[in-house]
Amino acid sequence: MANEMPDTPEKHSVQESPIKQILSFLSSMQLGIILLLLLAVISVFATMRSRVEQLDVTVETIYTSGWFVGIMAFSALNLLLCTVQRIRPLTRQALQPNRVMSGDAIKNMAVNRTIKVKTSDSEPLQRVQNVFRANGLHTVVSDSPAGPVVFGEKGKFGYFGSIVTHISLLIILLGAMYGGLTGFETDNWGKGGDSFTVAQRVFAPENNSLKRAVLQRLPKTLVNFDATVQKVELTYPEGPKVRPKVWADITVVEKNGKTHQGRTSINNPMRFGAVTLYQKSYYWIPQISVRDAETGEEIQALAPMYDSSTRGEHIGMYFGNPRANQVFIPEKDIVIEFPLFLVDFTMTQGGMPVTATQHPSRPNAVYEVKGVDGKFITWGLAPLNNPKLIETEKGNFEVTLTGFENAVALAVTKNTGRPILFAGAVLMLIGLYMSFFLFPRRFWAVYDDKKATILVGGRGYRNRLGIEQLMEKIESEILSREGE
Amino acid sequence: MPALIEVSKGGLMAENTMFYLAVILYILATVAYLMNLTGKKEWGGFAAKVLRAGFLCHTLFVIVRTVNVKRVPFVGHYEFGNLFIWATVLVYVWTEWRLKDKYHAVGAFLSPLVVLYIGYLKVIPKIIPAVYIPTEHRPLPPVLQSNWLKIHVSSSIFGYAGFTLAFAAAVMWLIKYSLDHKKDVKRSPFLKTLTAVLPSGKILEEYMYRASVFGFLFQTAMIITGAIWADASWGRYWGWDPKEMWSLITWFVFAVYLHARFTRGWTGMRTVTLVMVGWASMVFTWIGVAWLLSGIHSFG
Repeated sequence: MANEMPDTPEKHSVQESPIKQILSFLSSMQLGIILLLLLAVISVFATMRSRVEQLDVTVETIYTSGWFVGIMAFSALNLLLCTVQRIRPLTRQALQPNRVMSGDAIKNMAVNRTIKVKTSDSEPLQRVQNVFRANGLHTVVSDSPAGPVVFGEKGKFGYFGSIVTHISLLIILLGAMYGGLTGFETDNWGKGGDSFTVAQRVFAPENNSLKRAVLQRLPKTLVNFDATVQKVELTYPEGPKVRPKVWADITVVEKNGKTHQGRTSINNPMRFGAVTLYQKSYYWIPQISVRDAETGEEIQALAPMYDSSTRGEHIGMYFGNPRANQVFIPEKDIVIEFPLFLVDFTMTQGGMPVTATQHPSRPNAVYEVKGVDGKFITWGLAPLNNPKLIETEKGNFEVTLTGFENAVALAVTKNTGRPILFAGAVLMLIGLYMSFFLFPRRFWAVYDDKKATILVGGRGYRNRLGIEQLMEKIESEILSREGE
Repeated sequence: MPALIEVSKGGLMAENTMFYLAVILYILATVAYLMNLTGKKEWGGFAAKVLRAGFLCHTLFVIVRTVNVKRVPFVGHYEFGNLFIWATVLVYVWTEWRLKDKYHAVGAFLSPLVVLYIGYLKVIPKIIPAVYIPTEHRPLPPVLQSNWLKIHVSSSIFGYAGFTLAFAAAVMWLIKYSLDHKKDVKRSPFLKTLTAVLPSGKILEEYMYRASVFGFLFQTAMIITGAIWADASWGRYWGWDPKEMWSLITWFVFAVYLHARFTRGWTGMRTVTLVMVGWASMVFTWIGVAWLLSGIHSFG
C-alpha cells in the first residue's frame, strides 16, 4: 500500500529547527486524528449531559465555551497547515508522473501481470496501448534504455480530492465564524397588524469584545428595519385533525427606505440580504370580556396568548407579562384567571379539559376563580359568544369569549456567512467525489522480447480493488486481442 | 396525537403481505448464506436469489406504503427503519452483482444484520413496552413538508447502508483474523472450511473501506442537506441537537478511519476497531438518540 500513497509531510519532516519541529507537529495528520477523536469524545459527553440539563445550558457550557472553540480553532489550524504542506507533493505526484518504469519495477508493483505472448506477435506494445486507450487511459510511449514503455493514466484530479475537501472544511469554518461574528438572532411575534423593530447594535449586551470589534469595523453590515405582520392565516390542507399550515404576510421597511414583502410559513422563510425571518410557531389570542353581572359594566377586556399545541397553555411568561391572563378584582377579593384556551374542547376520561385537534371547532376559554390569597373557588368554561355567568359569594361576574386571533412566532436572524457556508458545502461534496470516485489509476507496460512476455503493472491511489479489477480486464483484453 | 390516514383493507393487506414476505425471504436468505459458509457453495447463489426476491418484496412494500400514506414513507422510526434496511439490501445486492457473485460469504454477515434491524422494528416493541414504534399511517406534519425531506433522508439511508456493509466486513475480518491465528483450526472441519470460504483479510479490508467511503459520502451529504433544511425550517443550520451531534460523531469516527488508512497507513485491527466504533455510533444515532436523548428530531 505504501507505494500507492502520496508522500506525506511526516516522511519529509527534517527536524532542523524548533520552529520546523513545531510546524511539523501542528501540520501532522497524527495531531489531526487525535483532535478529531477528542472532538468526538467531547461531543459524546456533551450529548449525554443534555439528558440532565437543558440543551441551551450544554451549548453555553460546552459547545460555545472558550476551550471547545479553542479546540476547533486548533483543528482548523492543523487542517490549514496540513493542507498547505500537502499541496506541493500532491501536485508533483499528480502532474509529474514517472512515465518510465523498468521491468523489475513493474514486477515489484502490488498489482502486476506477466502475460505470455506468441513470438510471432510483431507489435505487442501497440496492442497494450490500444487496450489502455479502450479502457479510458491517456497513453504515452516513452523510450528507455531497456526499450519502449507504455504509460497510461486516468483520474489525475483525484489526487486533489483531499485538498479540495480540506479547503471546503476550512471555508465552512470560516463561514460559520464570519456569520457568528457579524450576525445575530432574535425572537419576535405578531398578529395581523402588529409591528416590531429590529435594530442590530454594536454594543448589544450579548456581543463579546471580538464581535464588537468586528462590527465596529463593519458598520455597513448592521441591519435596522421595521417589520409588520400584515395577516396571519391558518389552512388545513390535510384535514382538520392535522396541525394546520400557518401563513403570515410580512412587510419589512429598512431604515434606508427599501421595502420587502414576503409570505412565511414553516420551511418557507422570508429572506432579504443576509436577514431571514423564520416562522417558528403560532399562537392563539382569544378576546375575553369580564363584566360585573350586577351592573353590566365591563371590568376588563383581555387578549392573552396561548400556545398552539394540544395543551393550549397561557404563554404570557415568555412575553414579559405572566399575568396577562388574569383579572384582579381586589374590592371583591376575587381573581379570575384564564389558564387554558382550548380550540377544540373535549374532556379526557380523567375529567381534564383538553384540545382534541388544532382546528377551532369548539373554542372554549377555561376560567378559574380564586381569592386574592390564591384560594380556589370554582372553575368553568366560556364557549365562543356565549356569556357565562359566574356566581360566587363575593359577587357575580359574566365572562364572554368574543373571538380569537392568531399570532406567529418569528425568529429573525442575520447570517452573512450563509453564502460562504453554502459554497463550502458544495465544495466538500465535490472534494469527496474527487477523492473517492475520480480515483487515479496508472499503468505501465514493457515487453521482454527474450521471454516473449508483456509485463503490466498498475498503481492506484486509494482504490486497490479498483486497480485489481481494471488489471483483470486489461489482461483479458490483451489476451483476447492476440493475433489482431 | 395527529390523526391517522384512512387506508383501505386491501391496501393494508398488500402492505403487510409484502412486508412479511420480505421478512421471511430475508430470514431464508440468511439461512442459505450461513449454509454457504459451511462450504456448500451451491447455497451461495441460491441465497443471493432469495435475498433479491426479498428485496423485490421489500421494494413493493415501500411502494404500497407510499400509496397508503399518500406521501414519501420517510417519516418516523418504522418508515425510516424500513427504508434504511431496504437501502442496505440494495447496496449489498448491487455490490454482489458488481463483484460477480464472488463473495457470497459477505451475505452471511450482512443478512443477519438485516434480520436484526427488522427484529428491532417489529419484535423489540413487543418485548419492551417502553420502546413504542408506531406503524400507523399518519400524514406529514407541516415541519416535514419540504423537498429537503426526500434528499436528507435518502442521503441518510444510503449512509447507514454503507456503514452497515462496512461493519459486516469488519466482523468477517475479525473472524478471519482469529481463525488465521488459531493453532487448532485444522482439527475442526467446520473452522477449516470457514477459513477457506472467508475472503482474505486484504479483500475484506478493501470491502470495508469501499463500503465506508460510500457511507461517508452519503453521511456527509446527509449532514449538509440537513443543515440547509434546518436553516430554512428552524432558522439555524446547526443546533447542537443530539441527533445532529451523533451524526457528526459518526462522521468524525469514519473520517478518522479514512485518514488513518490513507495517511498513516493503518490497516488490520486498528481500522477494523474504528469501523466497528463508527457503526456503533451510527446505531446509537438511529436508536439510542431516539430513546435515551431528547431533541428536535423526534418525529415519532
